[in-house]
Amino acid sequence: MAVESAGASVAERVRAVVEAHRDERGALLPILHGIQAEFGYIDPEVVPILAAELNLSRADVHGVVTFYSDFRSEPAGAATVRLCRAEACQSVGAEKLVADAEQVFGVKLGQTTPDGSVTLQQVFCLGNCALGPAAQINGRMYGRLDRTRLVEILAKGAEA
Amino acid sequence: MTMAPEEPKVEVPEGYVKLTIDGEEVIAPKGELLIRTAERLGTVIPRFCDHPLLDPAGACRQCLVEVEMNGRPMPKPQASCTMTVADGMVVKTQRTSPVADKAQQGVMELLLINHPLDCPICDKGGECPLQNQAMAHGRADSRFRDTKRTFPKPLPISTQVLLDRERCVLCQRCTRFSDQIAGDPFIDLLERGAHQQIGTAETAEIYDAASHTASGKPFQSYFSGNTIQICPVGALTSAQYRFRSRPFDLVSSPSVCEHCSSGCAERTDFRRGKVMRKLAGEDPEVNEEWICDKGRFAFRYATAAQRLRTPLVRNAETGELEEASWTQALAAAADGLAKARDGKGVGVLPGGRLTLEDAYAYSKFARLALRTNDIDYRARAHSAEELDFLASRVVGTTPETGVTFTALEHAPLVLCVAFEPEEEAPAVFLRLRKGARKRRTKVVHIGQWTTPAVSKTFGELLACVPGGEASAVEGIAQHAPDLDEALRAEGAVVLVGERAAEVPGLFSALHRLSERTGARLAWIPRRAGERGAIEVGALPTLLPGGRSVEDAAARSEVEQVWGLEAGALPGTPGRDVTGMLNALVTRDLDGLLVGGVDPADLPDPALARKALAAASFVVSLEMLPSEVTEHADVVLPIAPVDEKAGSFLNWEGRRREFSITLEGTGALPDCRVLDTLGVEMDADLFTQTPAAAAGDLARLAPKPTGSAAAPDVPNGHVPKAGDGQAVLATWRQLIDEGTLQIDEPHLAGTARPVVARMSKASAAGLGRRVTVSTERGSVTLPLEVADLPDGVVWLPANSPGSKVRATLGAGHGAVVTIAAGGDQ
Repeated sequence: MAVESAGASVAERVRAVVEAHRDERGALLPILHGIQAEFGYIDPEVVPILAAELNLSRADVHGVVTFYSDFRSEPAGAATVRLCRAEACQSVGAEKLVADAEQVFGVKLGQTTPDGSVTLQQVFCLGNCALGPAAQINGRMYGRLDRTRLVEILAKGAEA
Repeated sequence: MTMAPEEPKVEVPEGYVKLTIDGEEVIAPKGELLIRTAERLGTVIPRFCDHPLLDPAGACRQCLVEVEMNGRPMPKPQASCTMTVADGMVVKTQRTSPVADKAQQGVMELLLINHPLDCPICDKGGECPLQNQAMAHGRADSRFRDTKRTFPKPLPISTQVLLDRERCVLCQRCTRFSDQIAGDPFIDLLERGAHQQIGTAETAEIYDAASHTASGKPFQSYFSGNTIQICPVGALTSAQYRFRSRPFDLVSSPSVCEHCSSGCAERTDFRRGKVMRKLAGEDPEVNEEWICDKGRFAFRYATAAQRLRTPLVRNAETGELEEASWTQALAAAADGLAKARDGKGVGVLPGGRLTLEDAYAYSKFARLALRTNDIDYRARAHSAEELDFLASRVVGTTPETGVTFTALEHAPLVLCVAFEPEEEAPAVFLRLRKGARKRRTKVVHIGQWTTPAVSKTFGELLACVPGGEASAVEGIAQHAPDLDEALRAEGAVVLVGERAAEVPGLFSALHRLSERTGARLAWIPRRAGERGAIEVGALPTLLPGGRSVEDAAARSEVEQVWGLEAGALPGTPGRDVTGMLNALVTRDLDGLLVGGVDPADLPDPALARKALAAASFVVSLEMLPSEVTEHADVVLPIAPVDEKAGSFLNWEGRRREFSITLEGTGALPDCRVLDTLGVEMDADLFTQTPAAAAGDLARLAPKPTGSAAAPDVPNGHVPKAGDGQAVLATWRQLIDEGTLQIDEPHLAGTARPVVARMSKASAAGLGRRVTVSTERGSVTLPLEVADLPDGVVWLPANSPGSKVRATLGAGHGAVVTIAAGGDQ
């Protein structure tokens, strides 16, 4: 239980997010987005609090969290790299880019580097097919990527 | 079938529609689902997710048919389990439509893509809808050449339910059952796409735990076994039954549940003389298609190692019980009972778990062989007021004249007083929830805290101090005028439980309430045999059929039927249980004939022990060794329900007959043992078999109810707790230390946590654990805060570490001492 010491304050922050959306119809999704914005991820410990607040079962909340791949259940790295692996990008070398990225950062897709600097993820189509291979790095879209550019962008990102 | 062209047009009645299915014209009620209309016509459309008692989902897509509306075909095949019939609809099922057939074949192929081919080791194999429908509507071979998606298996989602995610076709029957019927949504759909799976919020943790322990976080429901039964594939299997048998090796026998007073229909499957499993039977009037986990899993008591199988007689010299032949044992029992009868007399404690026929034998045996009215089946807290209530309001009611399950479902209002439906009669709880969900039945509970049953029936709690229920009922007119008004509505029902006997004045107050408002009143006891025992006169004031022992005309009626001379039946009411025990201690009674009674259930277990020790002669008819058999001079083994025929009267007064499941085990029912014992004592009971007993009982037609005087006892004072004290609220949890639940660890693992409950204010300063004590002893349990009134503590009555009667010698409404129990 990592948040034991700050337990009370975590629960309070969760409840604040819940309060902001409580009256909405189908409030769970906006609340989960709010939690992710607040904490950067959805800790499994938050699930029982949400279930109690919204009068849902924990299985219900857990089901929604696991359904959407955007919701993370552990903290992300400082930079999140989401590599497109859909058909258009694949045809222009996305698979090689994935292999390169995995080699450069030393982690597999879906993992975070041990130093917490980069989280590698896969997506299927960013709508940037004309400029593949595409990736989204910290929310910003990049096209025509290769190993060098990827490293460059991340290095710049780190400086900024 | 060809139709003559000039055939007259069939009128479509109001509320019905006419449609065509496979070329045949059908008239169907509006709102009926297509899949059921087709079924009535004899066309079975394959399906997995569809279940008549669950809301439609359209999840599995197996039931696709071709539909044409107003001459325009719908562009794609439609799921017939979610589409309701409409006027002029033209439907083609797989029988006539190649499109529908191809669609069904396609869905089947998709469902089978990731389904493992482990039918040979799957519990469901042989009774599997997927297997059957794949044979009927699927391809003989698979075109899928890739690796199947696999999951680690099985995943224990509770101690009794195992989940195999590979086999799952995601029909969501289990999640819908848990959510809609039971109200325990602990399982749900997780993940997405190819990884979509059923699981609990802790599935990941369970997976970790599963590698080193046998159980994970429980799927906390008293009804989880139903998900195993309705699973159309082998995805949910029973830990108890897993790998035990194949369906085609089992012999099935319809049976009736022996655990509570609901009398649920069951199906008992056995193999080579051993019960392998019990399943819910279908009875739309009673349990629909559901049973609780206790009814489903608690049957191993009958095969317990310590089960008594031969008669035992106490050796006068050594003082030990020794095995004896039936002849010896019966002679010894008859001899001892006759001596005791001719001395100060013999009392009879039949217990509350007998079939109607067995209870009748006790009743007749007491009157004929022992010539006494000292018979009382109530192995629990009881009162004289309760006797009056049973005689005036309960005996003789039938489903035709009294409250029924259906009436509960349709009632505008149900008031539960001193009754915890989910713990005491789970089938009643399911009906209340169904009524509340589907028909907006308002459920009001007079109790102590918002129990799961209160919230799951969308109920309202009127909290009162334990023992103050009578005052609360009296106060309805003044303090809850809305409720008073609602009770006057047509069909309103008041339900009262066995705990009411511990609250002086409650039965009287309820009687007055029912008279004043016109609400119907039903008594729901906890044990299966209680209702029948009243009907056959296993009470000190009643003879069979609700006849009062004090009524000379009624007595002579019974005397005639039983072939006795006039005046043979004693005309004074006998002693009740406590009266008999006291008389034994003071030597005003010599002998005791005891059925299935556990002294720890009696209002004062210490008194019961003293009485057993003081009695000069005790005969025990038992299945398992108990505190009674320890003191008995003769022990006569009797048969469990699976090994005898008979019937239970459920709380509605409905006769629930069952025939013998396991034949030729040699175990004798109580009625047969008592009949033979009667012969030894020169009394002919004519109860050689349950059928004979039932026939004999039938000659004593029940008297119409309402002839006896209604209870009229003033309200007792509401208990008050002083400093360092609290008033005790207590009742049994469904799954606890009951004798019939022994040898079943899978079931015991799903018992609710054993905790004490107090209000926030009262719990302040007590820490994490609380010690509840009386001068007899103390119980220490983890403390949980709930919405009880201040100065009240709740304890489970018979759970591990909390045996209230045995340890504290106190019951519901007693004042107990409270202290911090240490933070252990």
